[in-house]
Amino acid sequence: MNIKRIAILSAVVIAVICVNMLSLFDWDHDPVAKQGVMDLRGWTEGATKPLKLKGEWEFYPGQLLSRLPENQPASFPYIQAPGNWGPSLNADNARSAIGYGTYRLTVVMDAEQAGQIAFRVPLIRSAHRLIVDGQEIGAKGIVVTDPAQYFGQAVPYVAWKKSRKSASIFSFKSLTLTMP
Amino acid sequence: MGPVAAIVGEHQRIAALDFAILVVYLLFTLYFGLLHFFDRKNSWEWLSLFFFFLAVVVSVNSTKWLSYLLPFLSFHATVTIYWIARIGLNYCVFIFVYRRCQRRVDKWLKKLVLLISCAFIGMILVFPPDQATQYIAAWNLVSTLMYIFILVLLIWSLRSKEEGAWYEFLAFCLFASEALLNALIIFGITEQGGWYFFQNFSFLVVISFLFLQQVILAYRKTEKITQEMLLVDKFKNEFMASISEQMVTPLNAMISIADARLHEDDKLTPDQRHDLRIITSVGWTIRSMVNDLLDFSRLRNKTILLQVRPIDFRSVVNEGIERLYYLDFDHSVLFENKIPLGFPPILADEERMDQLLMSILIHAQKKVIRGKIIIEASVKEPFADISIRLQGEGMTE
Repeated sequence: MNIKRIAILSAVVIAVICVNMLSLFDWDHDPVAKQGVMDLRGWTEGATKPLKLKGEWEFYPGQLLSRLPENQPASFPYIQAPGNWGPSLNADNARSAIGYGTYRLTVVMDAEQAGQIAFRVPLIRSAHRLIVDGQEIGAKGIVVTDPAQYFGQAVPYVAWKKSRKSASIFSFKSLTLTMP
Repeated sequence: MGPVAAIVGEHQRIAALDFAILVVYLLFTLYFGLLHFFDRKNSWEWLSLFFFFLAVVVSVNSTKWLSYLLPFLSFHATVTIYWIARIGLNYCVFIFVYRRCQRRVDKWLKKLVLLISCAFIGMILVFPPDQATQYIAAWNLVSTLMYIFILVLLIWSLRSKEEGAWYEFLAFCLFASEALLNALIIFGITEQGGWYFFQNFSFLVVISFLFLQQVILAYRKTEKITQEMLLVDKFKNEFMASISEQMVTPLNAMISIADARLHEDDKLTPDQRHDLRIITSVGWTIRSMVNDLLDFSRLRNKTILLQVRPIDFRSVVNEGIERLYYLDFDHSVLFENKIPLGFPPILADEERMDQLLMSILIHAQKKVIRGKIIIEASVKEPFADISIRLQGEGMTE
């Protein structure tokens, strides 16, 4: 094989790898959740553009909450979403993805941004419930603490709710069956 | 999260794109499956299976079309199907490339890959999903090693300058990177964005080129075979025409010599005269057969022309009878020309009329063991009504 061919081959392989690596970087400048809060105040693009709720969510491992606990701890454990919940779920066995817990995110927005807001729930590979401002607006499968009663279901869907200036989004997940 | 219209629009867009990719993969499954029936040497069946498994994997991911197509499937069954398809598609792509580069790969490696794939499928089927999926990391390692090996094989096959090797190489690069991207999406490291769809699209484009190339190759192959067959046919016709022409000259000489002796030599005994008549009859028969061969060649080349002119049909029949009479050695079959004297000339090509008449008379002579063959003709304006009657033994129908 001549040098020209080797160069072309290498270029193709390197180009594919590089572009894949580039896709890992965050190219859009959309707001990102920090310490469990997604601050959308002053973000005008939200009127027309969907926003991914990615970043740091509060995480309550081993608890299924629909509202904040009364004896709220001073510091929250945070978890990166999207991401692997294994290490936050089982500190002893980070590889295990079996368990249950609650994700919580507070979205703060301007008064003019409040109104009918929709949520697209992608393929969550476990049973889950989606609660906004204390009201369940979507669910798939049966979220339980007892493995025997658990029933997983993974289908993407769209749910919506009229939001206020500030909304708390809870998402329960339980007993996920890892399916990478 | 976002405005209802934008979110619903995005949901529909992703669902439509996933469905389109699913349909395209199924079409490729069908196409390569059909290709396998026409060309069994190039292992297209493995590529067909690969696309089928890929369609299954796509139907479980993203919009999860499988749950709409088969709503009764449990989560457990979906996980099992997904993993069997993932293992299956890796095995199929490996075997497809292995078959292409068989000379460079030891057979034990193929058996090892089959064994590992079966072991993983067995684990998926036997253990509950939460236990079986503990071994995912091991399977990912095996897949990565398989991909590296396939890449090396494809680079090797590029050296052989085999047609389609470039498309196979590019398609595999894109598929491998897409598989990597899929894994990153599932592990939550990245997300399903424009680049994912672009890679999917590029993979399909490259595979389509491979598909098109196969169609073009098949067309060229058929065209080449057709041209070769036409050439062989032409050579055969030319050979037949040439041999026939070369046979006519000695035959004519033989017939002329025998005919001349028959008509000019008064010292011939009746037996000698009879023998000479047989020689001329056989000569005429062979010459008419050679002429048929020549006509056949002309017919194939579409160069045959009819020369229509008024002919004396009674004379044509007499000449035919004379040729055939001596071919029947014991004269058990007699020919009788009952066409009246003064029968009006008919418009025809004399050579073709002779061919037709001789064919019918020879056939009739074979049918009758002992008896008479009577040729009659009458005028039925504007045509001539010709009939040949067979009388005697041997007529079964």
